[in-house]
Amino acid sequence: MSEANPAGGLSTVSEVEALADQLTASADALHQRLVKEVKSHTGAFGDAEQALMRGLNDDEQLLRQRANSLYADAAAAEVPGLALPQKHLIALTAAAAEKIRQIGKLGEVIGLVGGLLSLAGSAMAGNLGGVISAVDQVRTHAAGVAAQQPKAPPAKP
Amino acid sequence: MRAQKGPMSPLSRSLPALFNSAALALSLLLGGCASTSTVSLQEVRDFADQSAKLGAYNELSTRYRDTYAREQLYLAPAADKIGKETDAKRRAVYDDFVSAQKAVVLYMQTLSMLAGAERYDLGDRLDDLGNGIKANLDSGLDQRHVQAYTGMTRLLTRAIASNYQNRSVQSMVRDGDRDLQTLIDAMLTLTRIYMKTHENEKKTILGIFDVEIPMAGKAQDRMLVTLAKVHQMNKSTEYRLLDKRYDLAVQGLTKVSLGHQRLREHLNDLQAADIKAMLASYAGDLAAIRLGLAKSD
Repeated sequence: MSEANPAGGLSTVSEVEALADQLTASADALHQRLVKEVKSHTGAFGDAEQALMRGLNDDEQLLRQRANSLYADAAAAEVPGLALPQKHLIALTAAAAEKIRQIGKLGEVIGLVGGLLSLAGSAMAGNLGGVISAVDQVRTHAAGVAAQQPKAPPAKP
Repeated sequence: MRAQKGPMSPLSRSLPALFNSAALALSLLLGGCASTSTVSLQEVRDFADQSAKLGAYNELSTRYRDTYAREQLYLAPAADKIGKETDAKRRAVYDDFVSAQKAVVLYMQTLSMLAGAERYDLGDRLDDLGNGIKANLDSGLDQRHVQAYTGMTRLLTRAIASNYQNRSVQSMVRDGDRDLQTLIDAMLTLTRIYMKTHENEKKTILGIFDVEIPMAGKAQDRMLVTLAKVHQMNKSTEYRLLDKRYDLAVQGLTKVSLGHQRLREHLNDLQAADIKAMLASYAGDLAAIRLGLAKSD
């Protein structure tokens, strides 16, 4: 079940599974942030706030669907070739999940999650160019966030 | 021995078997009179019977196939689109995924038959395996697994059709072990993936309530919030029970694999007391796992 894919890259079942695990971990981190945010909120939610939370919950669902789609690929051992060092990809998505936990303002999570989503989408489609630009996007966001540290825990009354 | 025709109660059907194995045990005790071509190995038989009854993999394969049908109501449009695509991928390989189980079950039933004293007809079960695994399909069972499946089918056809070389448990286990281990290995990999998929399904469905319930603070939302809380509670109980089934399925497959491996290692001293005790403990563990599955149902 783990023979190398002649197309190279994201080639073995366990590698695909590992990427899916990371997307799941990112979704988990996003969910924890969301729950913390809604629970610590004081007073009624405004329309804009609700839309933000729901949008992020939708993103969480997307991350999970992408992960499950990769799991289905891993189960079916039919994986699009992807010439990117797998360890690098895993490290990057792991760092992104960690950032989601740490970012001070919830709004900043959106860009990072967007980057992760396009990464997952391109990985599934076997679109190398898409993956590379998504990797850059995630890296830029993560770096930008790091510059604003330390900020956690969020400044809530 | 051939049972008489006509309807029989389960008791009368099992009596000759009981009598037969008692007679064999007695003849073994008296020493030397049992020919090597007919051995009754109660522990091997129990182990094989328990292995054949482990149905969790099949059930979880079906659950995996039907993931989208359960998630659909809860998904936002963008997630729904991916969910639908993944649904097609899962359905395409379902038949192949359950074929592995069918081969393992028939193997264990055949082993049980060889280890026992009476004979029964498994021939019709062979037809079930006839179509085989579609080797060229986008299947999680790669070439190695397809070969194992084909090898297993060939072995079973021979064993069932010819009463396998005078009912030799030894040859069956020796010839079958590699393919069996490969198939169980595939089933374990797939069960792990089923479990992870289940985990995301659970968090998708329960997660919505975590976010929405605290945001619904208006007085006119009260009834809605109450219903949502009830639904969330029911769903979390349902998923908590399911979590256990995945663990038990993995434990069961691992026991079957280990038990057969030990059987293979001790083919020449199957009558030794410690080997019998070891096999009996694997059979006992499998029975306990089955009980656990029945409880969490």
